[in-house]
Amino acid sequence: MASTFPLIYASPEPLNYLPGEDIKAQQILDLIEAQHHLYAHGAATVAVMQGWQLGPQVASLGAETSCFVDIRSTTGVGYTQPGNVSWQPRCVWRMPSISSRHLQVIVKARCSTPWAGGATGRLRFTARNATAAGAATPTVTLSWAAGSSRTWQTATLDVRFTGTGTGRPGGAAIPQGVEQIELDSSMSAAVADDRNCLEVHEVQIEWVALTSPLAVGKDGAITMLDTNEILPDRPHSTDLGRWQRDSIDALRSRVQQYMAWSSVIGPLAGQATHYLNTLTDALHRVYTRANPYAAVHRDLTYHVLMGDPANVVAQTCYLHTGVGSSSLEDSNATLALTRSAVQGEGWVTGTIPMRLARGKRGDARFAGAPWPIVALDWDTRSTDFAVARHVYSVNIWGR
Amino acid sequence: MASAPKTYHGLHASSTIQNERPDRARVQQSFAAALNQLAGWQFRRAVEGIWEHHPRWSAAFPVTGFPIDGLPHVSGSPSTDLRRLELRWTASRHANYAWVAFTYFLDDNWSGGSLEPSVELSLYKADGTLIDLGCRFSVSTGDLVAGYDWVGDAGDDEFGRLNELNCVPHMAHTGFVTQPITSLSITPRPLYLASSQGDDILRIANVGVVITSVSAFEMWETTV
Repeated sequence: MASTFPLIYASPEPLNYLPGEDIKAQQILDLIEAQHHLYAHGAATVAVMQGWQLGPQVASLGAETSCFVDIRSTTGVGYTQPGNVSWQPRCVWRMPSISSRHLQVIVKARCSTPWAGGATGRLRFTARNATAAGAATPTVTLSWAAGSSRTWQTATLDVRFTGTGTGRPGGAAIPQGVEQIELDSSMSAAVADDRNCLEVHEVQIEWVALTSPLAVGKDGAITMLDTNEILPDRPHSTDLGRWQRDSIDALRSRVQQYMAWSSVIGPLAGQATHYLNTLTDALHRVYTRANPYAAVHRDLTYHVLMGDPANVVAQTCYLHTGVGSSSLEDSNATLALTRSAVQGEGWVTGTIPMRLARGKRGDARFAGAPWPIVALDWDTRSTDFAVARHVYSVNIWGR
Repeated sequence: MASAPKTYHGLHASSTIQNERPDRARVQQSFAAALNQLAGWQFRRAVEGIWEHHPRWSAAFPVTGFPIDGLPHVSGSPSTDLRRLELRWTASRHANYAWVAFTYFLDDNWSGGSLEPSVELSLYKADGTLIDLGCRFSVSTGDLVAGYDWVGDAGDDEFGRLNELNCVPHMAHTGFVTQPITSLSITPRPLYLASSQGDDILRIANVGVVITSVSAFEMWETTV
């Protein structure tokens, strides 16, 4: 059943399918192959891609910036706890499942361990279903030997987000929005020197494309077609057309990740937490180009992790969407993301309407800027200015 | 595609499938167009590296937030303290051809600034060999603020928001490569800072890179 799957997408040529003429089997195969390739590779994108600056520890680790730079897992100078061998701090991204059969991601990170006399630096990725208690939480750890300088490490991580942790046999429904990847770090040994640290420069997470889509058979509305469905001497059946139509429709609706941004949650004691602070950081924003092509017409979905770790307080931040290179004056939506008066962090989920953005595509002001921008903007419009609201993670998906 | 017979599906390429009704051919034709359109969309996003960040990510680059006293760029010499961002992806992922769209916005924090940053875009093959894409872009702040009410205190939080957003030219640049590429780096580089003002800031708030295969791209352009 395994297929030799082409790495490069081959375009079926529409002009080969002419009414009144025989359709060569090759042309049907072209369609099937393209469909399989799209199922296996399409939208199997880099889902998380984030980088951080490397800067002075104190300045860069303050709440002034949401970027985490040195994840300094050390007991060195300026640190107040011997926490270098414990796993912390934490980043969280939420990822959509692109199909019931894509069950692995490749995690990549580029880090440095600047002191040759120090210990091994470690990054650990964990896949977690946020709502399934007892679900398996596969992990993978990347290591950088002491003295490494901006080197990449790569590993494969299972992302079986079901409650059993055994995958999703049979294409069971996937509760989109609860799968997340977490990241933490540690040093392998406590060495009392502030150079004994792990510097994290870039992190990426991408889906592992399927290599044998034929083996899938059927995944929801998507049907893989092989010799059981098509034979040279069989009529060009309507079933074939229906399967293809349903598959194409399903592929067209496949969810993709447009944005994944995480602050650093729970850094070492003595260091400030990283977050978007609605109280003091009015300019904090996260941008993405969403809905980049006219074919994308559905609303976007956001998953935002926000909250206050110390106070019982209602939190509101505002999400704006803009079009092209325009200012947010031309926003097509301003959404209030609100959590009730509770303490601690929690996810807020909703949709971003893109209807107005579509309407503005014909506007001359946006000529040359065909890609609407979704800008997330936190401001201070809260009833309680005395308490900061923290935004830890922002994730936007589209179809 | 190669014209050699394909057999792994159990079909021979020269065989034909009965096409009793012309509309079935038309249906297949529409399927082909739809698949190619999907490919153009989904593969374009395949390596769309959207560096999500925070506008104060400006600090992510040493070129941003120039030292007030330093201003080594007054002399016109490029900064030597460059920060290179790097994206990587799986080698096999439909990247025999690249259409690279590179968007960013640059923000000068001072109305009188003449910051002329450039951004270099490099692509690397799987073996780490640099492909000289020739993508080196530069833009002056004068270009950025044209037509907008760019006030001197734009960097201030109170007023900066609107002005900043008014000055978000998402510059798109394209380049082409014909070799498999697996990584990309982006290097912001200030050319010079003619002003002695110390509050000039270069902010790169959004970088998007799109890689696609030639077939998907071509069909995207031509499909209905």
